[in-house]
Amino acid sequence: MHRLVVTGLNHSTAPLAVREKLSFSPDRRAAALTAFTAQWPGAEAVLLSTCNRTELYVARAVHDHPRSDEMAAFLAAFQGLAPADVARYFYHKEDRSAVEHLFAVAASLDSMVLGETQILGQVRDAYEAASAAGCARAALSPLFQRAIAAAREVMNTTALAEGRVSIASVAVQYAQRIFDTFADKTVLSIGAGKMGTLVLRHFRELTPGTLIICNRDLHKAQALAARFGGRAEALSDLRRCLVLADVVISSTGSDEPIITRELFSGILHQRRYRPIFIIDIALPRDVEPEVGEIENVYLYNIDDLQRVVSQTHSQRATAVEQARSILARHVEDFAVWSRTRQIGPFIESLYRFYHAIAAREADRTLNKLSADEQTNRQQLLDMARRIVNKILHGPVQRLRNADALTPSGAQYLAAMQSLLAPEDPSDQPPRNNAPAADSPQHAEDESRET
Amino acid sequence: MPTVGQLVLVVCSAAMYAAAAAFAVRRLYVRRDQRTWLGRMLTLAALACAVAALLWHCLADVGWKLGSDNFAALMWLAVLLGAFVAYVQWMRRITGLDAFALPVVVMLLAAAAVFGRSEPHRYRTLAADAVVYAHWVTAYGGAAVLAIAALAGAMYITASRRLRRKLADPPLASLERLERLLMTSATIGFALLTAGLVSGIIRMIDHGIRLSSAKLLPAVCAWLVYAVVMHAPMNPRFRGRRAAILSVVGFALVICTLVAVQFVPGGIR
Repeated sequence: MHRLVVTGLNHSTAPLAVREKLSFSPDRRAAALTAFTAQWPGAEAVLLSTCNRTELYVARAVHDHPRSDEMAAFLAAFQGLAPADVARYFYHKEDRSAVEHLFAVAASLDSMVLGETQILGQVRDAYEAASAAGCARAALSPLFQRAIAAAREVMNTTALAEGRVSIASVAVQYAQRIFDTFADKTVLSIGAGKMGTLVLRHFRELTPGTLIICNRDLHKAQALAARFGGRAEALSDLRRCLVLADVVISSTGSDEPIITRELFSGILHQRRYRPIFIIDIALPRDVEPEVGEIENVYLYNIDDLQRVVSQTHSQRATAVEQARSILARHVEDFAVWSRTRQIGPFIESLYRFYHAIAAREADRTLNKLSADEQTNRQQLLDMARRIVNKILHGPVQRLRNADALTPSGAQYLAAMQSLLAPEDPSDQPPRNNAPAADSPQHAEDESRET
Repeated sequence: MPTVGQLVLVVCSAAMYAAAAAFAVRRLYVRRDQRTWLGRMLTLAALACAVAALLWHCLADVGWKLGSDNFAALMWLAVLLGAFVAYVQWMRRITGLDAFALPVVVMLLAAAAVFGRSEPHRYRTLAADAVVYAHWVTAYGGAAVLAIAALAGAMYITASRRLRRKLADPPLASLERLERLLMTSATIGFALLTAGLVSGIIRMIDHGIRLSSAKLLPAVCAWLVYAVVMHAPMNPRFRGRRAAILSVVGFALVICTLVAVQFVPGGIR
C-alpha cells in the first residue's frame, strides 16, 4: 500500500519573490525528477511548477521516505535555497486531502484566477514529463489521469471557465466580443506601467498583427516592445498610433486625459470608422468619458471592468458549487477504485493462505483417526474453514470499511500485511481446495457465520 | 392546397422550432445552458418535418417550381432559412443566431399553415412565363438571403448594445463576424433583389402594367436601402450599427413588398 503526499507552495502561501526562486523550467523539472528518483528510487513523483505554484506529488510505501519535510527540503536545496528559509511557505497534504487538492488544482478551484483553463494544461504537462521520466507509475498515473478527466468535466459542464475574472482577462474577453480575429489587428499600449503590461501580456496571447508601445519615455517603450515583440513610438505620435489601433490599453500616470473627444473625433474618418476597443485602466483616467459615446468606440475603464469581474464572481457561485460536487464525486470514485485495487488481492491471498493452513491441519488430524472416524472428513474441513473465516472476518471488515485514501486505511492494511500475511511466498502452504476470498462458497460461509 | 397531413407536419415542425427557439432565447440570458443538444435535436427534427411537408406537397400537387402556390413559397423560405441555421450552428457556430432566426422560421411556417390554404392568385398560368419564374426565384431567393442579413443586423444591434451596457451577459458572436455575415448576405441579397426588380419591371412593361403598382414602391425603397448598405465599404460612415439598422429596415420593406404581392389587389399581376 502506498501513501500519497503533496508538498508545495502557491500564490496564497508564498510571495512572488519566493515563488520565482522555486519555479522550475521544463529542463530543471526533468533534472529534479532524475535527482528525486536517484535519492528515493522506490517512490513516484510528479513536479508541478507554474507561475503561481510549485508542488511535488509523491507516492511512496507507507512507512517509507520521503516525508513531507524531506520533500520541501529537496525542492529548496535543488534550487539552491536553504530549506529553513523557505520552510514556512510550504504546505503539506496527505492521502485523501492530497487527492482533493490535486483535483481542485487541476479544475482551477485553487487558482488565483478562478476558472482559468491554463492550469489544466500545466497539470497535464507535469504528469507527462513525470511519465516520460519514469517517475509516474502505478500509483500516480491513475491519480493524475482521473484529476485531468475530472477537471475536463468541470470545464465542460459548468460555467466556471466561461467567465474569467481578472481585469486583464475580462478585457481580453470583451475584445473577443468585438473582434473575430486578431491577426490583422493592431494593439496599442499607451504607457509602460505594471498594470498595462499585465493586460498587454494577455493580449499578446491573441497574437495580434501589430503591437505598438507608446510611451513618454521612449527607452521604456523600446524595452517593453522588445519584450513583447512590438514596436515603440513616442507619445507625441499618439494621434498617428490611434489611427492604426483596433485595441488601446491606456495606463499612463498622466493627470489629464490624453485621449479627448476632440482628438478622437478628428481621426474618425482616417480610421474609416473602424470599431475600436479602448481599455482605460489609468487613475486618473486617460480617456475622456465622452469618447465612449462616439459610434463604434467601446470604452471600458477600470470601474467598468471591475464591475464585470464582480458580476462574474456572483454569477459563478453556482458554478463553483457544481464544480465542487463534481470533484467530490470523482474523489470518491477514485477512493473506491484505489481501495478495491489495493486491498482486494491482499484479502484474497489472506483467505487462501489461512484456509490452506486450516485444511492442512485438518488433514493431519484426520490422518490420526481410524477409517470409521474419517467418514466425517468433510464436516471437519468445513469446520476448520469456518473457524478461519470467523477469525479473519473482523479485521477484514474493518479494512474494507476503512478509506484507502486516509492514513488509518493505509495503516490498517500495512498492519495486517505485516502481522497476518506470510512474509515469504515460499512459506505459503500448499494450495488445496480452499475457496478464494471472492468465491461464492467463501461468501456463503461468511454470511452464514456472521 | 396543402393536405391535412402536410399541415400536421408543418404544425409539428413549427412547434419543435418554437421549443428550440425558446431554448436559444434562454441561452441569451443564462450562461451555459445544459440543454444545447436538445435545442439542436429539435432544430434538426423540425427541419426534417418541414422538408417532409414540402416534398410531400411538391410531389403530390404542384411540382418543383418555387412559388407555385402560397404554401410552397412560404415553405421554401422557411426550409431555406431553417437549413441555413442548422448548417451554421453545426459547422461554424454563430452564438445567438438560432435565437434570432428560429422565431422567423416559426412565423414563416405559421404563415404557410394559415395562408397556404388560401389561393388568392392563379400561380400556374403565370409560372409558365420564364421571365416571371426568374422573377419569383430571384425575389424569393433574395428575400431569404436578406432575411439572413436582417438577422445578422439585429444580432449586431443587440451585441453592440450589450457591449455599451457593460454587463456580464452571455456573449453573442463578435461584432466583426456579424458585420461580415451581414455584408456578405446583403451583397448576395442585393444582387438577387436587383435581378428580381429588373425582371419584374420588364414583365410589367411587357404586360402593360402600370409602374405605380403597390408592390413596386416598397421593392424600390428596399433596393435603395440596400444600395446604401452596399455603399458602406466606400463610405464607412454607414458601417457597423448603421448598416445593421438599415439591413433590418430594408428587410421590413421586402416583407412589405411580399405582403403587397399577396394581399393588395393587383399585386400579383
